[in-house]
Amino acid sequence: MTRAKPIKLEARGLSVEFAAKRVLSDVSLALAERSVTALIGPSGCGKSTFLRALNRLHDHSPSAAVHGQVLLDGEDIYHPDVDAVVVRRRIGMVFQRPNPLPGSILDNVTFGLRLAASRDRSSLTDRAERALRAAAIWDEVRDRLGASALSLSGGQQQRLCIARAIAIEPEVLLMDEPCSALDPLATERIEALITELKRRYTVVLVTHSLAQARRVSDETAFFYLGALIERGPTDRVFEDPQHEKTQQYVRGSIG
Amino acid sequence: MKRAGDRVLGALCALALALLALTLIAIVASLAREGTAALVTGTRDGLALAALGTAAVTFIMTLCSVPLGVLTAVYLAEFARDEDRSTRWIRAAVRALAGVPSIVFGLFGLGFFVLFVGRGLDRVLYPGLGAVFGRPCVLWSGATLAVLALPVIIVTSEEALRRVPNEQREAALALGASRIEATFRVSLPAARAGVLTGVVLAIGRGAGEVAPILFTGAANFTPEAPTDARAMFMHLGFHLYALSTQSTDAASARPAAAATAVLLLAVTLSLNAVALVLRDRAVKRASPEARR
Ligand SMILES: Nc1ncnc2c1ncn2[C@@H]1O[C@H](COP(=O)(O)OP(=O)(O)OP(=O)(O)O)[C@@H](O)[C@H]1O
Ligand SMILES: [Mg+2]
Repeated sequence: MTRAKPIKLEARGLSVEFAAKRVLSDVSLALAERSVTALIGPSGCGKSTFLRALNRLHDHSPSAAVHGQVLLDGEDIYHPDVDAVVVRRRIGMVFQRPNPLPGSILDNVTFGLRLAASRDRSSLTDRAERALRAAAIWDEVRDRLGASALSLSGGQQQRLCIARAIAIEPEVLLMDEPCSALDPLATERIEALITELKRRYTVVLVTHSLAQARRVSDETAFFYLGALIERGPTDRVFEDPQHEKTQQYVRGSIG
Repeated sequence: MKRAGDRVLGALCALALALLALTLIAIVASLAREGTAALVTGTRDGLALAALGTAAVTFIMTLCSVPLGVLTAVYLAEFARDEDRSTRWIRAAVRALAGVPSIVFGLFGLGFFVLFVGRGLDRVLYPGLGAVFGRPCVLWSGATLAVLALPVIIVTSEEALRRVPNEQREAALALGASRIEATFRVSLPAARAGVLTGVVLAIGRGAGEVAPILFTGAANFTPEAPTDARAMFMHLGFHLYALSTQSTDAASARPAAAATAVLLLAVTLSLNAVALVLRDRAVKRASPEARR
């Protein structure tokens, strides 16, 4: 079924080195539009590194070198003429640890909008409300939009970070273990949210929870020691893994 | 055995601390006793003029050193690559600057600001008019003090910026901020308290320094407050020095000298107190978890 959808984002021969140490080698992976792709694999296998390469976040670490291509709608985001800022507006990111900015809840949600120079106050708050509703946190913060974002609980902070990312309406949303710091209830809400987000965005989800990958993703990609070992429809990868390492991982004997 | 040793060490520390506190109290008390009386009764014009001059030169110093110092810190913390040679040179220069005795700054200020920059300006702006910029004045004293304040501002601001977690920068970048925007909208505001601490400490240090202004603009006596940046000025620290060394009757000058010292101490101590409060806030801000 995913085959029918056009390709939104595609990594081609993507490698990342930190100070000449290869952490990600030659990964090629195509992501269909409006789908959820889960990235799984043992800790340290390069999932976050791959994710960060997809919106050029390695640009600013001097020790990192990225090779290969990442095509967004067929165009390489690493082409010298492409502005990383524009890329990041189209490819949003939610980090492994909630990282609200100092300032109020409203400041956080409107940060990206204010950068994009939309100064109209009323449309700012409207769009903030829409984003907060979409991230299923509106009811909890509607009465205290001016309060410090740091006064929220971890789960609320993470949903605020999601709201902040979708407020600028990116086309792709990269989520790095968005539930790793959350309780089951908050996790459930975020999973429901991801399923909802899929209707508009292309979602890439790094997760350590195999159950979560099965619940929310259409496609699953398994990474091991910096390489992409296997990818395919989620049900197929979990029920009938082709590669020995994948078998061991999804059955819980490595990782 | 060990515990007895510990106790002796503890007692010695307490003694040292008590001595230190006593000295401070003795200094402040004796100055206050002599000085406040003179402040209240025999208010001298000189004292008011010296206070005004101190304010003026400190203001100029702040104006010159804060933007340059903070921007240098921003460059070092946010943009410079540590392995670049230029970065290493800037760092070494800042460290060297911090270690230079302040009298050397005075000499440098005379040579560079007064004679080189000042005379140079005169030659271009007022040919044949004599010295307008090219003589000691409050402007060049402020500039010289600014050079003295720079390393303090740069080092503390850079540290404050480095304490801002990288996740915050990345949060901004991921929302489509350029690096400049991430720096000025996220890193710098987050480091605000730490940067301010450095700035206030630097101002506090600069306000009490006499050596850098000796040859660059301080005067024994001026009939009025400096209304022009190219005028010479009176300064509390220098006034104190002049009163204590140049009067023929040292004893009669004592009350005035004490009054000057009280004012000078009040200025520097209150600036340091402000710095302490700001640093306290910076520490709290750096660990929001600890506050919750
Ligand atoms: N900035 C960096 N400098 C040097 N090495 C790094 C850097 N970031 C990551 N690495 C290394 O790259 C490898 C992959 O790290 P990465 O964070 O991508 O793993 P991960 O799959 O996301 O792990 P986890 O599931 O624990 O988050 C690790 O060995 C890590 O030590
Ligand atoms: Mg990771």
